[in-house]
This record gives sequence, C-alpha cells and structure tokens, in this order.
Amino acid sequence: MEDGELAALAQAGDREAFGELVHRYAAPARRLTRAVLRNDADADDAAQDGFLAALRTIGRYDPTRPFGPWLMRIVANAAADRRRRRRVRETEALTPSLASPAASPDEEAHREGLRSALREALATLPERQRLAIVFFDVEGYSHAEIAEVLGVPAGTVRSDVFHARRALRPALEAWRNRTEEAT
Amino acid sequence: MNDRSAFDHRPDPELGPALRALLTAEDDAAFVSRVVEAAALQESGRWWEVLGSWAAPGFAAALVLAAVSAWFAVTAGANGDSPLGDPLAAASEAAAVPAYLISADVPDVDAVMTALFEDQ
Repeated sequence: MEDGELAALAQAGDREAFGELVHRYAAPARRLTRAVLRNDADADDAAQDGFLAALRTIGRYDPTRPFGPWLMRIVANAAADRRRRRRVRETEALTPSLASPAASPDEEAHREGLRSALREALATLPERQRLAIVFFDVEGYSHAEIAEVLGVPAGTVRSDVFHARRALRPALEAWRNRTEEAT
Repeated sequence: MNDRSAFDHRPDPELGPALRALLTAEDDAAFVSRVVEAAALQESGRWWEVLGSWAAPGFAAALVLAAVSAWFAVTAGANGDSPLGDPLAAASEAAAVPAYLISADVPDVDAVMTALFEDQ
C-alpha cells in the first residue's frame, strides 16, 4: 500500500495504518533526530514527538506529494524544538548502542575509531548542514526534497552538502590513515 | 578516501554508509510499539481535551450568572422591590399618581376616578 493511502487511513483513525507508517519511517526519523540531538534518549523522544505531531496534523498532508519529506520536516522541527529545550544535555556522549554484539574486539575498536572521528566532525557542523548531508548521503533525498524539508532554496542545500562533505571527509581520511598505520 | 568532489551531486558511497552506521539506532520494532502506544493515548486524550475546553468557559459563565443573580436577589431584598422596577408600567402612569398625592389642591374627581379605573 502506498504512503498516501496509509496516511488517509491513519487520518480516519486506523491505528494499524499509522503503525505501518511509523514502521516505514522509524529508521530515517531516528537517524535524523540523532544527527540533531546526539543523545539517543532525546533523539528517540524527538522522533516520537514528530510522529505524534504528524498524526495530529495528518489532515493537512497533501497526498499528491511524497509523504517522506512532509513527515521528515515535522520530525526535524520536533528535534529542533527538543534541542532548544534540552540544550544542556546535548553535550552528553552518544550511548554505545551502535556497537554490534557480534563484532570482535578488534573490529569493534576499528568501528569505534570511525564513529568517534565522524561524531566529532559532525558535531562541528551547523545543524542545517548536518541535516542536509544526512538527507542527501544517507537517506538519498534529492536536493529539491531536502529544500522542501528544510524550507530553504535548493541552491542552499547544494552549498550545505558541499560544506558538510568538505568538513567530514578529512575526518574519514584521518581515521583511514590511522588504521593503515596501525596495520 | 575516494577522489569524489564535494560538489558531486550523487550520494557519497563512502561517507553515506559511514554516517548511516553512526546514526542508525537499534531495535526499531520497540520504538514503533512505543510510538503506536503513545498515539493511542494521544487519541483517547483528545476527548478529555475537548470536554475540558467546553467545561472551562461553561463553568465561568455559570459563575457569572450566579453572581449576577445573587446581586439582584440581595438588591431586591434591600429595597423590597426589583431594582429594575416594573418594565411594563408606563412612565406617565408612574408620574401621574404621585402628582395627585402630593398636590395641595383638591384633585379633580373625574381625573382621580379615571386613574383608579385605569389601574384596575
């Protein structure tokens, strides 16, 4: 079933349809809020806020347009709201939930090195650049879709993606060099 | 590191997966359940919100009405009459009878009789 059909059912009070939409968009929504908040608990709270806000305003969704960008705009706003309210907690470290339990100690150390380098570099970016690069390079949204989500011109999105990549790639390269030196 | 330009208008095949690994959270199923439960609570809460929104102005209106009624009752009790008077009584009638009562001259009989019969 298409997103628009599910949205119409959810608007009519069909909880299963709403659950299916949450299931489809849980992962990108949680990634988006993690990019903004950098604290897992706050990020999940913000993602939930976003889904609930979307349910309350689902009557305003235009089914002729893609559902994902409409939802992600609401989730991004929810994350920004929570960041403003919980600015103090933003400095807390990410919980180590990204670790794979099946990884060996060496593999885990390797992954943690990459995560740490990227996390630090990501933290230096302005919020809009962080969102732009996550939408573009992780979620595969087009510049036009990201522009709609962020409420800025497409040219601004291109610029944000460019600057974000320029800031993150050295971190990736430094981590790679450290890895090669170690081996 | 690949040699892709930061201007490249395609998703970065190296940076994208690295960011995905950094930001992806575990246990989406538990998160979905949590959101669906919260949505159900939100839906049931709306009825109370609607009733609550009706109750507040209704209660305030009832308080105002009770206060106004109490004021009229107290005022009427003090004067022995309604403070608004009799809205059906004509102004001319209200003025005519006291004029006969306070006049020092002997009243015209026809006029007194007419006033008495009109009152009946």
